[in-house]
Amino acid sequence: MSEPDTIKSILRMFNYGLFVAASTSPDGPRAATVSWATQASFEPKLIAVAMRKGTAICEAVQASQRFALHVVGAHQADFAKAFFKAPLGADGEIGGYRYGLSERGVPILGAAAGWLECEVVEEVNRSGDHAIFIASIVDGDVPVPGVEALALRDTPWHYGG
Amino acid sequence: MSPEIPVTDVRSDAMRLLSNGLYVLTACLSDTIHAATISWVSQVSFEPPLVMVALQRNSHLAHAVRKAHRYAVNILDVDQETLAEKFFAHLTAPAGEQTLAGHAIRGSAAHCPLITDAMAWLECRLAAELPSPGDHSLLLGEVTGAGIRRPGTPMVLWETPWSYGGLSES
Repeated sequence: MSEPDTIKSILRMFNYGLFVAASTSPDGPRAATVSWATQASFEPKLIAVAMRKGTAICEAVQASQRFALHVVGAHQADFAKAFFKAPLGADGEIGGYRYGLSERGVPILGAAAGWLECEVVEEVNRSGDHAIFIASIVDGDVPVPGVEALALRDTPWHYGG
Repeated sequence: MSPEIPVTDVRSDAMRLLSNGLYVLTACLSDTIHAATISWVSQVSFEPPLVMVALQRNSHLAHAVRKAHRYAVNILDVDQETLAEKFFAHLTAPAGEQTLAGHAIRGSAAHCPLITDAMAWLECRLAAELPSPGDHSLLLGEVTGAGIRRPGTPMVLWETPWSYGGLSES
């Protein structure tokens, strides 16, 4: 077994983006910055997103089985930062950003560089500290064509859970 | 892996904004070493440290990992596009070979083949295959070993001429 610090360093070499996950909880719309996301299938189109068990965003997704994954653009670090503490939304805003509801009731933040609306098809990871949501993509848009996404590596942040 | 393919769906455009890396997955099943470049990899737990890789469902690579119960993720440096490209096709070699596609390999303590030109590596024990209706198998691995050979900047798929089209294996 290697030193835990070595493993940690190597895990940080993986490439991640920064995303804002938004969902609807019984208390209202909720959004949080997440990083562990990857595509998981072409046909059907699936992504896998890991969220810390017990967090407000994880519980909102578990309750509603739906969420939107917003891509943070290369010049939108502030957009990512606004959701570090998983704010609750009200009056058409979450964390100071306007949102609208999709026809399925999922909050979509207008400021995102791109977004995917997802429906959970499986929740797994009994052994880990994060729930893995395997989700089908029911809608999506890139409002600004050609936009580039922010890479976690190009920010001062690490995802520490 | 494939050259750029035409975009036909805005959902695909949005999915390309997920920032995947490029890695070479290696495994040894009985007397054969298997290796191929992969892209869909993510950490999914801190404690225990778990990593998920997505491999084309009916591929030889997925089959090998399922049977071998162990695999390594070799992390490539940004300047190793040539190495990445060599493994776009799933390559095999007899166990005990010292090289694969011209790159030196050595076995880890747990007998996982490692590509020594990679800047770093993680070795995983297959913990579970996650249920998914998709065309890729989601293999959950517990990290059992790791090493960093030199500092560097890992390769990101969107900075290469390629995108992953899922077409590399039959």
